[in-house]
Amino acid sequence: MTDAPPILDVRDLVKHVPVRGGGLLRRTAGSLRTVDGVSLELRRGETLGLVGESGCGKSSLARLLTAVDRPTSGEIRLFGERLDQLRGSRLRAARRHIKLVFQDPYASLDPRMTVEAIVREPFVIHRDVAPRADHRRLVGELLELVGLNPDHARRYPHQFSGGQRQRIAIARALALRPEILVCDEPVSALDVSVQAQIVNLFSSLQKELGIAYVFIAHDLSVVEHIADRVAVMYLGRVVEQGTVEEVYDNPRHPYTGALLSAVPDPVPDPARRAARVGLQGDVPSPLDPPSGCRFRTRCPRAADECAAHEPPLHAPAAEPGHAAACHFPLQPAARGTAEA
Amino acid sequence: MTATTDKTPADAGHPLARFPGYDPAAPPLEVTDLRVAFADRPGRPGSGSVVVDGVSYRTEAGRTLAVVGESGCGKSLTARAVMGILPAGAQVTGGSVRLHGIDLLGLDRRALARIRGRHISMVFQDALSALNPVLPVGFQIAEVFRAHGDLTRRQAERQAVRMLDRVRIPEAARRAGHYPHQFSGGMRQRVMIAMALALNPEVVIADEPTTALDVTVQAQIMELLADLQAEHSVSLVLISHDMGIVANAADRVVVMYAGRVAEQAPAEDLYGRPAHPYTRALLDAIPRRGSRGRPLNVLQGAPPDPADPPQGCSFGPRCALAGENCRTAPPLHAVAPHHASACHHWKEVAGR
Repeated sequence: MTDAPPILDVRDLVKHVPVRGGGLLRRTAGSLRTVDGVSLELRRGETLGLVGESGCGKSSLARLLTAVDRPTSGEIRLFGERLDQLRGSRLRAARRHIKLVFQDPYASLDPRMTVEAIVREPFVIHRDVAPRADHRRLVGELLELVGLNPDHARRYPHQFSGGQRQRIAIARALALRPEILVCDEPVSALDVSVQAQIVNLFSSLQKELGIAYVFIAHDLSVVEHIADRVAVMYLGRVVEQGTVEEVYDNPRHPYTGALLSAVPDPVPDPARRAARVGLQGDVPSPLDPPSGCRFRTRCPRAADECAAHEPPLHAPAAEPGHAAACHFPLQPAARGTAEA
Repeated sequence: MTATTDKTPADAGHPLARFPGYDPAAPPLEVTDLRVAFADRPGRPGSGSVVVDGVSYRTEAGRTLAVVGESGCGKSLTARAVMGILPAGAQVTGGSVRLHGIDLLGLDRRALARIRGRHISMVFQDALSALNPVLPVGFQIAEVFRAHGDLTRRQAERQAVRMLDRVRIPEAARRAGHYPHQFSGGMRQRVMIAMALALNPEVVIADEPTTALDVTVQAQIMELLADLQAEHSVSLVLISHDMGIVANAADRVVVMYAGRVAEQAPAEDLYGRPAHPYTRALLDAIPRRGSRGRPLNVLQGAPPDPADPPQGCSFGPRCALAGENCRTAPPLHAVAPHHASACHHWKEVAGR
C-alpha cells in the first residue's frame, strides 16, 4: 500500500494571515503564521489523524486542503495536480474530490432549506454530475447511506438531533463521491453515545466507499480509534508523525507524551490521580513564536540547544515512518515505564 | 485566614447558625426527591413537561460527587434548581434542597442571597459568557467580597488579587486589571473558579467546567480544583458528560437519564461493576486502547421526549434487556452497599 503514490501530497505548506494594528493607518502589525511549513501525505482509503491543542493550526490546514483558503506558499498536490494553483472551472472540478465536514452541525446547515435541498445542492452546482431527474433518487440513496430515513427528506434541520444533523452534513459531503473527506472535529459537539454512532458511520463508509479521511480532533482517543497514521501539530508545525501504534505506544516528542498523559483514562485509579505528567501554561502566541523549538517554553526537557536551533522533523533508521522534531526525543526505556 | 477558622461547623457563631434548620452534622448539600417542570403554556410555569423527576443525592465535605448523563438528562437543571437560578418557565414542583440542614427552597430571596455565593457557589461551563466583558476581572472578583462582607473597595481588590494568585494566574496583581477577553480559555476558567471559591463556600457546583478546553488545559483545571478542594474541604458537585474526567475526579457518581437517577455508586464500583444498562452503554461507547478497527458499541435511538415519556422504565425503549416487567418503572434500590440502581435487570448487567 505504501508503494502507491499518495492521492494528496502536501509540501512545506505555509499560511500567513496579516494582522492589522489599530489606528488610522492600519499598518500591518505582523503576521499570524497559522500553518508554518507542513508536509503530509494521504493514500487512498487511509485515515490520517491530525491532533493538537486549539490554535495549533489544524482547522487552518483543513481550509487549505479543501481549497477554501489559498496558501501563502507551498504545494498541495491532489492526484498529482497542483490544487493551490488551480483557478475557475478547473478548481471547481478539483474540489469535487476533496470535501470538508465541519464541527458544528447546528451552524453548517441552512435552517431554511429542507434536508433534500441541502443534500441536493452539490448536484445543482456541479450540473454535469447527474441529470435533474435523478436528483431525488440520488438524495434518497445518500440519506440511506448515512443511516437516515429517506422519507424525512422534506424536513428541516431543526427537526433533527445533533447526531442526525451531522449525518445530513456527511450525506452532503458525499454527494459528489469525493475520494477524500477532511473532517474538522466532526464529533466534538456530540454526546458520547451519539459520537460512537458517527465514528462507526465513518468507519463503515470507508469500508464501503474506499474513501480517505483527514480526521481532525482534539480528542486523542477518538483519533486512536479511527486513524491509521497520526500527525501531531504544535503552533503551525507538525512535531511528530507516524502510525497510530508508533505515536501512541512510543511517543518521541515530549509534546505528544504530555498530550497523551493528559487524556483522562476512563478507569478510576486514585493512585494515578497524582502521577500525571502535567503540561503547564498555554500555547504561546503564533504572532510571536519562541525561537528555536516552539515547544521549548513548556517543555520539561528544554536546553540551550532548543532555543538556538529549531529541530527538524527526523525519523530514526529503526522507525523510518516515525518522525519527530525534537533535539532530545523521549527514549523507549522512559516510554516503557510510562506504560507500566 | 479568619474566614475559614470561624467556619468550623460546630461553632455556634457560625454564619449559617442564624438560618432555621442549620445542623452542622447534616450533609453539606442534600437534594431529596427534587422535581422540576417546564410550562406547557406561557404564564403557567411548572405545568408541563417534567424534566427533573424525583432526584436525590447528598454530598460529603471534601469529597467530589459527579453527576453524569447526556445532554437533556436534567443534570444541569437539577444544579440550577439547587442554586435557585432556573430558566424562565421552569419551576421546582416538589422535593427539597438542604444545605447543612437549611431548606434553601423555603428561604426568601434576601436570605437566599446571603447564602448563595458565600456558602454555595457555581462554576459555569462558558466562562466568557459568565463574566462581564466590560469590567476588569479583578473588579468582578472584588464584587463578591463587597457583596458579602464589609470590606472597603481597596481591601476587596487586594483580596481579589490574592484569589487570582491562589488559582495560579501568573502576575496576579497586573492581570487583575485585565478584561475577560484578554485571557485564554483556561485562564478565564481559573478566574471563574477564583470567584466561586472567594468566600470559601461549603459547596461548589461545577457545571462542565472543562468541556470547552483542550486536554492539557483540562488536566490543569481539574488538578487546580482538586488542590483547592483539599485545602478547604469543599464539597464539590461535578457535572460532566465525560466519563474520563469523572473517573479521575469523582468519589461518588450519580448517573442521570431522562430526569431521573439511573444509578448511584462509589466511582470504583460504578466503573467496575455497573448495575444499569445505561451506565454500561455510556462506558462501552468510549473509544479505548485496543478498540481499534472494531466498531464501538452503540446505544441506538435517542432519549425520550420529556413531553411524552414512555410507560414504565424511561430507558426501556433503548434497552436490550427490557422485558415485560419493565413496563412498571423500576425504583432506585440498593444492589450493594452504597450502590443503587433503577433497573429490574441489574443482575444481568452486573453479571456480564
